[in-house]
Amino acid sequence: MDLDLVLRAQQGDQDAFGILAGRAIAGLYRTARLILRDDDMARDAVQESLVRAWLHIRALRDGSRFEAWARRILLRICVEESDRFRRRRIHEINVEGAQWIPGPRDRADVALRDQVDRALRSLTPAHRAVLVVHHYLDLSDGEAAEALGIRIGTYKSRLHRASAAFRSAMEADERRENETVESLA
Amino acid sequence: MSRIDDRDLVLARAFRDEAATLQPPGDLLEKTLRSIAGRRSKPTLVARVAQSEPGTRRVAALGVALVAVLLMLVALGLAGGGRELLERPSATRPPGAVHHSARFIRAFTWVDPADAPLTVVRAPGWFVGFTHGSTTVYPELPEDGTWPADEWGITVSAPGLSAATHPCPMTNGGVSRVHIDVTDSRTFAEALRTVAGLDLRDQTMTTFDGRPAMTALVVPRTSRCEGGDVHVAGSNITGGWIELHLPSRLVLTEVDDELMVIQVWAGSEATLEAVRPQADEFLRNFHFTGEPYP
Repeated sequence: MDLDLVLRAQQGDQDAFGILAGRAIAGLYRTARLILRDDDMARDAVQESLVRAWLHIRALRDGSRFEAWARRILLRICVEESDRFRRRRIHEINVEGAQWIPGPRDRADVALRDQVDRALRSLTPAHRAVLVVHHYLDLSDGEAAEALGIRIGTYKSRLHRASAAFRSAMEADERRENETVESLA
Repeated sequence: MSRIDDRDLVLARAFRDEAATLQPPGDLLEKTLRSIAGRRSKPTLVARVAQSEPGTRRVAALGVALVAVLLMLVALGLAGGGRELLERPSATRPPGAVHHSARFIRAFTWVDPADAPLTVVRAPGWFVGFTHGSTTVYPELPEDGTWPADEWGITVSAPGLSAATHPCPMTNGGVSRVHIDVTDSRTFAEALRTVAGLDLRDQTMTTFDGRPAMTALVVPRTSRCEGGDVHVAGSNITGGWIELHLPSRLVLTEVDDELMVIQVWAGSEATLEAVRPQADEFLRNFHFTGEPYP
């Protein structure tokens, strides 16, 4: 089915591309949002990736891998171009608000979630990307390296450094929490 | 289980839980599709060659081989001493010398202003920045949102068919970039005014490098929106953007039907005016040589 749609899109059928994009957009948005930690930036990145996917769809050789291909474009945009999205954010008003919908969690879970969020925000987009690719997308090392457009050795070392940075950030956060509690005691 | 494993587990679960609550904005797909409506995807080189006549195919194959050789030579140049056009301070170049850049979509020559040696900080296919020793095309915007008043620089760019800007006003939840008309100087300026909401003043028809051109002043403080930027054509590697939150003087011209934007920017209107002599000297000595980017 995808093959047919990709073929039609490659022949200029925007409706076919619209179906492909519609199927891929939720996954792309989630991935971008997890990496960029910002609704507006994620929206910009997804739009940019799909526009580029359309412009270059004729370069897609394996029609069954449209989503993986679009995700690869998205990941590179998130890692290499997030600076310009961040610059925009200074001048834009988020009129829509965050889309986080808290589930029925106890307070400890919410605190942990906030702590993880703070730790992730302290990392670079490149580090967040490898963590998302590894822990959320669950790609093999080879697939992950290909998706990020880097060599497998680079991917492994980047994942190691990103994990270390995340752990450090979590520990620093815990220390700050403890200090606050001690000072209040 | 070790503490490290605990943290990794926490992260995996956090991503999964967070992702489960995330939905793309309802209009994201619609707006994305609207932005590509009427635009054609680019044919691949292979497709273009396959559709051509046999004789043309032979010529094309030869061309591909030549391009490959050229790319190898460029790579070798970058690895060795060939970076002078990419990231070398003008202070190390002889003053008054004519410099030549072939790494732009249309090659050009320039001369540094006598008392303002420039540094080429970025030279991909569609965007070049000239600064005064900075390693970035534009200064970093501080947290308080105030540009460093004394800084200034020049950019040269070819917006290309993928050029996009942020609409003004931003619609509720809107996808923030739309493609703009780059047919010629007039349509581009009109898009900056009507789409990006910029206050464009003193629009004047003139000549630049012997070609018809338009000049205009961008005044962010009186723009409908706080300002904007134009993302220029190109891939991840070659992309760039024209920052229009800054007071700027634009020169818009066309080279072989390709719109070119030369921007003199400054951190303040006073600085823009103060550096006018140096900027004019740069503009007078700037020439497109007409050779297309390989």
